[in-house]
Amino acid sequence: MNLAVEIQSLVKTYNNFKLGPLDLKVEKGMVIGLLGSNGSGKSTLLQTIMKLRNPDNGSVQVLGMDINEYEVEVKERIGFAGAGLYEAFKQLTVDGLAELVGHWYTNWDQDYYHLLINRYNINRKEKFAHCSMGTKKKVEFVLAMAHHPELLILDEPTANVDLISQQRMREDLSQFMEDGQHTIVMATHLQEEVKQLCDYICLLDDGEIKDMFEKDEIQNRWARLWLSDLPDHFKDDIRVWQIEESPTQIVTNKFSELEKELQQQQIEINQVKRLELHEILEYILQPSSNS
Amino acid sequence: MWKDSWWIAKKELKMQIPGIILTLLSTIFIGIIITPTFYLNIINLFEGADIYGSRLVFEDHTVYIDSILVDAIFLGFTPCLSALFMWGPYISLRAIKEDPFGKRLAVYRSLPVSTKVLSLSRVLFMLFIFVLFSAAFYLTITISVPNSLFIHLEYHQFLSFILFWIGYALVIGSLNPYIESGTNGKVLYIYSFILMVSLILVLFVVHQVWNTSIVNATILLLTRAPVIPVIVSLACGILGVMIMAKLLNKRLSERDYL
Repeated sequence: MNLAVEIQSLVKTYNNFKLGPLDLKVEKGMVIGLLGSNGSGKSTLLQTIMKLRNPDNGSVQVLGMDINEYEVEVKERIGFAGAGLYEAFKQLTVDGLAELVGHWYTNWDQDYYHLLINRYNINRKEKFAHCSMGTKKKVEFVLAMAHHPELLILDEPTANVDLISQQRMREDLSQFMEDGQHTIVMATHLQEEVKQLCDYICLLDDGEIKDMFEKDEIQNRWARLWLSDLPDHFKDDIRVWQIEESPTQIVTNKFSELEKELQQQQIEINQVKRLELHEILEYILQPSSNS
Repeated sequence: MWKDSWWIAKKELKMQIPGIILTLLSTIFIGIIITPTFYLNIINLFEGADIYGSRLVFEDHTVYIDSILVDAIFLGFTPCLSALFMWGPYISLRAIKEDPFGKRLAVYRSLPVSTKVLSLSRVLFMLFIFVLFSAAFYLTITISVPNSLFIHLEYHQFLSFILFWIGYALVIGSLNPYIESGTNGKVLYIYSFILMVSLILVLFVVHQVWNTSIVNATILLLTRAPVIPVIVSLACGILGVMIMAKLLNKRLSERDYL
């Protein structure tokens, strides 16, 4: 398997938070979305991959190389946006920041940087401190893209960004993924982003990976069914996540399986509704979940 | 590596120009303020403190104010010349919470910059401002001090004195980049506090228990042996910087930046 990121037995503890132990494999050419509530460990995981946080235990391999051994070589091929890092240099203009960042990449493409700056309507001469929250996010995104990285690590890249720029960012990311040689690992809260970009979803909860699945597969699996009747033995079935009466309806994560069984038992399915991603996540992440 | 480190150091220096100017002016000001006391202290040393010295006379002993002040400046202030002590985190309590040094390093750590390049850049930055501020401090004293000082102290002995204290300041001051970059804002303040308490303790022990002055002792030593103590002091300073650079590099590869 050609892996862009391989994490083994990773543990990071700080303050009262513990990330891991967790294992994660991300294939090249994939977009993986890290989902989870605030404080679930998404940013910590991304920062640990970038070595901005040092793990207590475990190993991180990026693009086939150990990040500890080949840190500079690996980071040359990564674009990282997030965590509001550039606030530390807020007295610099956008161009000043680009100079600070671009110096370190042999691949830095000044023309592409200009193109992106214009595309996102960013004023290059404006001080970073004076930029709006959304513009700051756009600057981070542009600086992560301008050296043509192989792997993008993005922490909520479109948070606070205007709708048009959000759409453009998604277009740019889709284009970035076109040749199948690039990879994105991104933390996000936006369903639209997940729907449009992600191949896989990794669900984080309280510092642990709760589940990981293919995006399309999960949306096919989950459904709300309105039934003519519900036999008792289904009430304790682990495939049934929620039951409501009058009218009788259930939520399941094994739709096709259950559909067949219900038909065999001649229970009529009056209506089927596919669940939205956020509804599925709510079921998976709720404390008394079936998993 | 040196080229990249110097590139970062230069960038940092450029961004800190207001801080550098303010600290430079403060250094010159302190130099001007301390010169008369420093001059008097040397006159006291060679011509008798009981004639000229500002002193507090107690029943069983006498406390010489001049020598305490001069000791405090040379022991406590000169190591500060390796930091922008009149700027940003040093004069703002926000640093305790915000850890501005760590946040700036985090940017570089998210880029393809090795910890070796980063730690060396901190050393170069520190050495640059240390040389600049030390030159300003000692030049101010040299220019402001009355010529009659050199009746007691020959020029080469005065130069030895300056170099000796530069060596000392470098030993202690070399810790600054480690504290700034290797720890967080809270430790920066704790370190400064510990340094101040240690200074007071040392001054108390030296003046009250041993009834002497450290600066005066070094002057007497250097009038007799103007070369070897200077070499030892400068060597300790250089060694201090080298050890700190190694420790800082290790620390930067292990620490959390966010």
